[in-house]
Amino acid sequence: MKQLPLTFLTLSALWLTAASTVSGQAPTSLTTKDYVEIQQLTSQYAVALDTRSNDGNALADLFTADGELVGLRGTAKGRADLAALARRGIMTADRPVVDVSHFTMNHVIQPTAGGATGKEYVVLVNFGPDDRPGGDFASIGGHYEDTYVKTAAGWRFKRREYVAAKPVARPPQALTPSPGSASPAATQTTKPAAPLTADDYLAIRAVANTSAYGLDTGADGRLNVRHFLTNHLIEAAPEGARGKVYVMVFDIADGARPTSVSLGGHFEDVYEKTASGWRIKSRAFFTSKSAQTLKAEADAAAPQAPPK
Amino acid sequence: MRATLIAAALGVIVQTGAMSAQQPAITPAELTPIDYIEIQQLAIRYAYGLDTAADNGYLYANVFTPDGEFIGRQTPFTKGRDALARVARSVRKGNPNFVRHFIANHEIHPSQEGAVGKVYLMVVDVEEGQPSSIYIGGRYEDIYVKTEEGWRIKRRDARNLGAPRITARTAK
Repeated sequence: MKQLPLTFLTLSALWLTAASTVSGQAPTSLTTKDYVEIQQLTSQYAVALDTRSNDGNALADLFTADGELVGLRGTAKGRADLAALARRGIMTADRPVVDVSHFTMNHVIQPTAGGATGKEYVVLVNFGPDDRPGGDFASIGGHYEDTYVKTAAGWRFKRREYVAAKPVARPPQALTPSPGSASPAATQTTKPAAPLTADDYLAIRAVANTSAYGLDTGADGRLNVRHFLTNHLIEAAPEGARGKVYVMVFDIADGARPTSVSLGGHFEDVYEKTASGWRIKSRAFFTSKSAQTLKAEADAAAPQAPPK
Repeated sequence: MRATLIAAALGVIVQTGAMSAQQPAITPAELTPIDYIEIQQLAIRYAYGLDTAADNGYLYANVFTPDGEFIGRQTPFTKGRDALARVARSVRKGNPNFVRHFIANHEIHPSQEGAVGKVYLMVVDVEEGQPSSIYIGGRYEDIYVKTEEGWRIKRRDARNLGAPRITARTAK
């Protein structure tokens, strides 16, 4: 199994360290429940945005009374404005087919003195109606920058800002596919493994999500949104934990060039709990290949029978 | 005597009705953080089960309860693990390298039965060397229950999906 170079893992670790110390004030800690509730808040946001339910108030309810949203189609502050913007459409005027369009991934959360901040990637998808089956990626993609506060009603957005991806010349592909095959089963554990706690799962998920920012942040600190990670399956293992996570490398629309996925596959990770927390010990990347493609490759690689 | 019995019976009915009206709705049990995480892991394992067809389809089937139900747009109704495993085995492209079911925005709420959830899905062909294309997408609506095996999907409703792309290389 080919592993990613150390520089990738080191960069991700550095990004993780930097991200945890960006606040000038000493951050307060968040409980496991806080992290889960904040993650649920952002999932609810996507549903409320796409469904525009309760006359836009479902989305407004996710913000503090003075909460602010900077969307693609305007800025709103306060419940009434937020509901009005949600009714008009925050990202697009058109209501999505089957009320689903707004996919968010790579959510990272950091505690702050006032609550928490967070970031997550977003890409919009237009699924097909019956007369235009399938669908396509919208030209909209980027990331959110969030501030969360804990209110009497639970965690709420104090501020959420959409930052559109700024297309740049396609950078070289950062992921080198492993030449081997992916592991055949979800679990490879051969020795007893210590069970993982909720804190462990969340920390491991945060490390993997952070790795996307590490891959996409240039030396100049600019974020070039490309690597969308999801389906992060985590299991206890003798080394600490193992995980698999799907990845899509997006090229967000640039002028006439539509949004597309230039590479898709999955990572297979080994995680280790260090003095600094959970870290990726090794990572291998596998491109997506169908059973038919693998068979064709195997047939092509097989030695040819000598002619009689 | 008869009038007394009727009055007593009516009284019971009236009282029962009044009690029903006054009875507060049962508050769903709160979910712990590990409940949320296990339910999220369950939905993720579902995707791996469909894409890899691992364990002869039972990696997929075993995310459901033994009497679990899947209601799809194309597969109207599938119930029980053996039938569900057959669905996973029918994915001709499935293998450990194959990824196609990408999920996001998993919203989970406690319910009287256990939990309910909604999760976004996009099924995208991202195979190396071919242009990416969206096959289908939309939202699953789920009912989860906690069993002796852990959290399982009791019912997954996939009717809220867009129309599937029809191509020569479409996998089931």
